[in-house]
Amino acid sequence: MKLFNWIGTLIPNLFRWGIISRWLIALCLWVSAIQLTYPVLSPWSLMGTITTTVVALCLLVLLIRIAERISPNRHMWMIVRPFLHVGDFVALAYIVCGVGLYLNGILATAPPQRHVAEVLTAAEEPISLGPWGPAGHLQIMLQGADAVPQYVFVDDRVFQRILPGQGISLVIYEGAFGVRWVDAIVPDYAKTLAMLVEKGIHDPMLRKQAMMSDLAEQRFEKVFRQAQQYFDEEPDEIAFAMSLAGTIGQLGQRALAVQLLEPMANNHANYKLYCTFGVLIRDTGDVQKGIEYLNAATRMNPQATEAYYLLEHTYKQIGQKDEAHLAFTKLVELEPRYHALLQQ
Amino acid sequence: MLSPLPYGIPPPVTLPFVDKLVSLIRRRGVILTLCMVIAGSLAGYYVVQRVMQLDPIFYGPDAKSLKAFALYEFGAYSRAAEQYRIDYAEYLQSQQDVPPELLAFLRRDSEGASQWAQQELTGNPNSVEALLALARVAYEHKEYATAADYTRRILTLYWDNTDALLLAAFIATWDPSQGDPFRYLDMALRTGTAARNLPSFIQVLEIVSQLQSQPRSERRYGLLMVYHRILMIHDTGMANRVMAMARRAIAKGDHPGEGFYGMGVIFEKTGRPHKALEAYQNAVRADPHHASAYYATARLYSKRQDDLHQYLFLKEAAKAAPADPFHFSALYHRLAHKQEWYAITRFMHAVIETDPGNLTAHAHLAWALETMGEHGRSQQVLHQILALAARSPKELESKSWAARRVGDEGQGEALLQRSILLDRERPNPHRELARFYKDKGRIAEARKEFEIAAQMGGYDNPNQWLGYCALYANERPPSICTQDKAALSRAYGTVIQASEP
Repeated sequence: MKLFNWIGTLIPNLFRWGIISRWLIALCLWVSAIQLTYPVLSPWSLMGTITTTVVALCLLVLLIRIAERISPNRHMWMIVRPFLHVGDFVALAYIVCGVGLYLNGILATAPPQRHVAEVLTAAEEPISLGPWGPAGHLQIMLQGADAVPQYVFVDDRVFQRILPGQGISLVIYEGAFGVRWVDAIVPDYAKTLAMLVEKGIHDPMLRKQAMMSDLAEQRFEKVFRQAQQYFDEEPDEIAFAMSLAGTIGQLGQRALAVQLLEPMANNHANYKLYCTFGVLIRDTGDVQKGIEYLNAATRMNPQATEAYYLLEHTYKQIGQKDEAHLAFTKLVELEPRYHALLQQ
Repeated sequence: MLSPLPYGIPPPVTLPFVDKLVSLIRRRGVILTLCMVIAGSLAGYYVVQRVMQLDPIFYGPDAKSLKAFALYEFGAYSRAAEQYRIDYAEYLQSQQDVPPELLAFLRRDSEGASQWAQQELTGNPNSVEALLALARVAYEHKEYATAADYTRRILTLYWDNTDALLLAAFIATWDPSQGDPFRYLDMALRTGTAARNLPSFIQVLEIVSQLQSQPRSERRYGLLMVYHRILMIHDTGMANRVMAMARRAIAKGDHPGEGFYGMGVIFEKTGRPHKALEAYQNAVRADPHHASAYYATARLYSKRQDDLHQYLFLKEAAKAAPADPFHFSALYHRLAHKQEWYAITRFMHAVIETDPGNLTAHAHLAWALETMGEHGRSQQVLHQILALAARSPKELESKSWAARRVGDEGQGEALLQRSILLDRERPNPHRELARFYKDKGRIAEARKEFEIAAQMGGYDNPNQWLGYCALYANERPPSICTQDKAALSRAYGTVIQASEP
C-alpha cells in the first residue's frame, strides 16, 4: 500500500518537473527499436501508424518543454500544458505495452517454427521512419493455419524484396504472454510455385517445374504419372523428357527413366535424344541396343561429335578396341583438339 | 504592441503567443539571424539537390548556357531550346570533326542539311543519318507527310532506331494520321537510349513547350506526361511533373493506361516497388494490350529473383504484342537461360504465324532447334532466314550468322559490313567480323576489327579477348591485352584463379 502511495505521489511530481518527457522519449525509441527488430505478427493494421504517432508526439513534447525552459516568458506556455500531460500519458501507455512485448519475447520458451505463407497484399506505411521504422505491412495467409489473413510489419529491406503473389517463408516465435512475432522473412520459390499451380495456371513451364520439384523429393511414382500425362499433351517435348529421365536415372531409377524415354525415342529421330537414350539403355545393361542408338545418332548428324565420343567410350567399356579406335579417329577428325589423346 | 485604432475601434484579437513572438524577433536580432541561417541552409540544400538532378547538357558547352538554363528553370522551354541551339552552334563551329548535319540542325540551316543529306545518300542510299536529317528538315517546315515518309524509310531499315522513333512521335503528335505517338514513344523509351543526343533533347524541349501552351481544357496531358518522361532522362527532378501530368491524364481519361504506366515507372525509379506494381496492374486494367506494363511487372519480379512470375508476365507481354521483337526476345532470353528450347520453338512458331517475315523470331527458332538436336529443321529455318529482309543492324547480324551456318561465308561477311554501315556505334558486328577473320586466318583484318570492338567496349570477359591477343606476336597489342593481372582479377577473379598454375 505504501508503494502505491509513493508511486501515486511520484508520478504527478515527475510530470511537474518535466523529467518524464525526456525519459519517455528515450524509452519510446528503445522500445520501438526492439519492436521493429522483431515485427509483430498481428492483425492490427495500424501498428506502424501508432508507432509513428507516438514517437512524433514524444518529440513534440520534448520540443515544447525545452521551449518552455528557455522562453523569457514561461507563462505563455501554460496554455499547452494539458496537452503535454496527455502526450506524456499516451507515451507512458505505449512504453508499458512495449516493455510488455519485450518481456513477452525474452521470456518465451517454445522453439521457433518455420512456416510458409502467401503474400496477399502489401501496403506502404503512411510515414517512413527510415531504416528503424516499419516500411510497410504485408497481408499474408499462413499455410496450414486458420484461413484468416494476418498482417506482418516489415522493415524496408524485407519490404523491398517481397511482392504480392509471392510465397514467403518466415520463422514465428511464440511469446511468453501469447503475443507472436516473426523473423527471417525470405521469398520461397517452392511455395510460389505451389501457389501458382493451385491457382490453376495451366502453363507447361509451371507443370515441369512442379515435376522437378517433386523429383527433388524423390516422389518417383507421382512424377512418372504426371510426366506421362504431360508427354501425352506435349509429345515433342524431347529436351524435358531427356532432362527428366537423366535426373531419374541419376537418382538410381534407371528402369523408370528408360520406360519414360523409350516411347519418345521410338517416335522421334533426334540426335540428342538418341545419344541420351543410348547411354541410358547402355547403363541399364543393354549395351548392344545402346550402341545401336548411338550409331543411329552418328548417321543422323555425321558432323556432330558427341555420339562418336560416347561410342568410343562404350566400345572401350566392352573391350572392342578396334571399334573404339575407329570412333575416336572420327572424333579427332571433327575436333582436332583431341589429337594428343589419340597419340596416347 | 499594437497601436490603438481611431474612432474607438477595438484592436484585432491576437493570441498572446503571436504578440510575444513578434516582439521577441524585434528585440532579439539573434533569432532573426538564426532564422536566416536556417532559410539559407534550406536554400543551399535545394540548390545542391537540384544540381545533382541535372545532366551537364543543361549547362551547355563549357557551362556557358546559364541563360538557357535559367529559362528552362522558369519553364520557358521554347526559349531555352532556342538559346541552347545558339550556344551549342557557337561552340561546335570552332570544333573539329563535328557532323555537318548537327551544325545545320542547330542553326536551322535547312538548305545546308538537305544538301549534305542528298550528297550522303548518293554514296549510301541507306544512310540513316542522311534520312534523319531530311526528316528533321521536313518536320521543321511542318511538312509532316514528307517527314513521316523519311522516318518510315529509316524504320524499315532499322526498326528500333530511337532517333527515328522520337521523330516519328513528334510528327504523329501534330498529324495523327501518321501513326500513334504513344506507340513510337514507348518503343523509343524502352530501349533506355532515347533522347541522349543534342537534337532530340532540343526537340523534346520545343514540343513540351508547344503542348503546354495549349489551352488547359484541350491540353494533351497523356502526351505531355510521356514527353516529360523523356526530359527526366536529363533532369531527374521532373518526376513530380510526370506524376502530376499522369494524374491529370487519368482524370481526363486521356490514355489512362499510359498514365498509370508512367506513374509506375516513376514509383519504380524512386524505390517504391509496391506502388509501381499497383500502377502497372492499373495500366493493364485500363489497357489490356499494354505490353510494356506487363514487361515492367516482369522486371519488378525479376529484380526479386522470382523467375516464375517474371516468366508469366513476360509471356503476357509477348501475348499482348506478339510480333514485337523486344517482348518476344525478352521471353526468348528468359527461356534460353533456363534451357527451355522446346518452349522457345512453340513461342517462335506462334510469332511467325502472326508475322511470317519476322527475322528475329526465325533466328531464335533456328538456334533453339539446333540446340535441341533438330539439325535438319534448323537448317530449313536458316535457309528461310536468308530469304527474309533484315529490319535492323541486329537482324543483319542474325542473317549473317544464318549465312555462315549454311556455309555462305561471303554473304555472312557482307551482311556484317552492312550492319556496320547502318549503325557505326555497335561493337557486335566488329566482334563477329574479328572472329570470322580469325577463323579464316585473315590475321591483319581480325586484329583491326578486334581493336575496334575492344575500343567500343565490345568485350566483357577475358575469355572473349585473350585469343586475339595471341595474334600480336611481334607487334604491340592494344591496351586490353596488356592489363595487369590485378586489374583483371578485380573484375574477373574466378577466371584468373582458374588459369593460374
